[in-house]
Amino acid sequence: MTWVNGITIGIVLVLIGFYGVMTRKNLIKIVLCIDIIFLGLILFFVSIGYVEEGVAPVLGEFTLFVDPLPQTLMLTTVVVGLSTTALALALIIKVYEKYKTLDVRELK
Amino acid sequence: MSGILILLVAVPLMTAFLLSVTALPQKVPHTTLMKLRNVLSVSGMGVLCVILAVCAPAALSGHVLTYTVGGWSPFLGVSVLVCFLALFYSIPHMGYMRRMGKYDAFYFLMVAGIVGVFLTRDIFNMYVFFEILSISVFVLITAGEKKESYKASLKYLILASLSSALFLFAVGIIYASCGSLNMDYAAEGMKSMVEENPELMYVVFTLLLVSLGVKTSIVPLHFWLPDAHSIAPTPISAILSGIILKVSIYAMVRLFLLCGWQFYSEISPIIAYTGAATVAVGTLLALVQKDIKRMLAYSSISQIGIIVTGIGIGTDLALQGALFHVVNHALMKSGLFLCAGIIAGQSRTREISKLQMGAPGVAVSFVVLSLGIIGVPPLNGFVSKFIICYGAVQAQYSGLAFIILAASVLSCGYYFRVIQAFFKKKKRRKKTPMYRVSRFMSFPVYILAVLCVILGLFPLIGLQIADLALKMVGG
Repeated sequence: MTWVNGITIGIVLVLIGFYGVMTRKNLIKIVLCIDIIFLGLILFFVSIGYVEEGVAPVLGEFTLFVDPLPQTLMLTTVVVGLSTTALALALIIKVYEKYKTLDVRELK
Repeated sequence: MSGILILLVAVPLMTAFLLSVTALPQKVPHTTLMKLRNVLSVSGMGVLCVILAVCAPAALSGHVLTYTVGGWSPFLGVSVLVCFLALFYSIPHMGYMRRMGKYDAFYFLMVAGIVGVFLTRDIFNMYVFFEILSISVFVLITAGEKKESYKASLKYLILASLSSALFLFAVGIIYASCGSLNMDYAAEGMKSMVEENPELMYVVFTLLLVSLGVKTSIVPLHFWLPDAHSIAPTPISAILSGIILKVSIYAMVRLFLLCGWQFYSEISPIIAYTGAATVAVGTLLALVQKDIKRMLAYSSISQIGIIVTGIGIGTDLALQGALFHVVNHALMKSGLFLCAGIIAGQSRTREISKLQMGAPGVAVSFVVLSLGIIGVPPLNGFVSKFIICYGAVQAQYSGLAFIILAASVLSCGYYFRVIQAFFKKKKRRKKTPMYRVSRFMSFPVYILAVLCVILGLFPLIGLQIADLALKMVGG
């Protein structure tokens, strides 16, 4: 069990994303940071189900297999993240049209 | 019998789909399409109510209906009722926005999300329904197409995405340590987790508290709420304050009680004190607002604080009071927002000092509803606040009871300011305002006001609802 595995990297990605949301001033960068958080979470989830030397439980004979549930759950999360990002970018376009800026400090 | 529960989610989803299809035909005149949409939305809601009514007898007699993942909660009935009323309000109100056909479609997606969160018994499904709910709310907030609405919606979107990320993180940890996402199995897993690995349990609790804290806007995380709730179009403000905050409160009660009473009693003082802080901040900020909808939004924060305090005290009595207050606040605050919409429309301003009485029926309902929120005896707000305070004193939290009572007294200050504005001398205007209050807009308000009086006069109905909900959460 090394420390460099999907779970730790996923958590680190989440933290990087949070740091980005807090420090970036550009709206688009903030939305991308939220995406990074969700990517980290997806990595985290998929790694939870990982079993060493396990195979995907599809067809055929297998004794050791990875947990397929987190992977299916993450398909949903991917879709949710995609729609949130799309909506956020659409709103950003509208905000830019009305305020002529993407800087959070100027939007106040 | 239990298969019918699936329909509760499926019907609004289907209605949303059909409504979005009505936006497609190019050559059909708008008026026909509008009529079609009205018929579709009202019948969709009607079918939903009928299904609920079919389920109701079994649920009210104490059975928890389950169908592999579902349960029936009395809150659902209240939410669907309020959504129905707000839909009526929006029939004449939202003409300009509904021409695009997106308003109704997203409205029903939102209803599907609300119903789903109440019904689900799976933590990950709860997350998915929350996302359906929030994404449609982001769109609905911008329905007024005002300049600020885009900013408010974006602010809400960013915070809500962060909060759902935290929620998902907590779900991941729960799955990793319990091996199941079904609430019944997870509850057992979490109980053993409390004994074996309390540090991890604290992490899960903190993640859930912060994430649901953003959604319910408890105090350090409340700053998005006044913008989103006051800028959204009136029926959406009513639903945001009345129902959607309650959905998150429901999730909070549901998930916190999963940890078991022993762990809950350890952490509950934190919830109680943040609740009290929320009451104080919400009340004080509401006092200085000049815009009536903003004032109502801050008042929502303080009422949410009262509910969270009740949850945090954690005795049976206080929990019962808190759940009763959830129902009461859902009815009162959505009614108040709808009244405020009509009154502000009639006096053509949202500034409190310039408001005029307008239609007397609406003004009377406003007075009744605001007295209910303040907690004047024959109305429902009194009963639930009294139970929470009584529970607080019984559980040795007298300070919290004092804060709730002081907040109630102060809330007279900001509600009476509005009512006072109704009675000041009218300056004769040369042009009489031509704002026609449609019957569709005033009837929901009357119904909500009458319901408040009924729940106040016969509090046992409400207490039974709260009891059922508690039983439902417990098992």
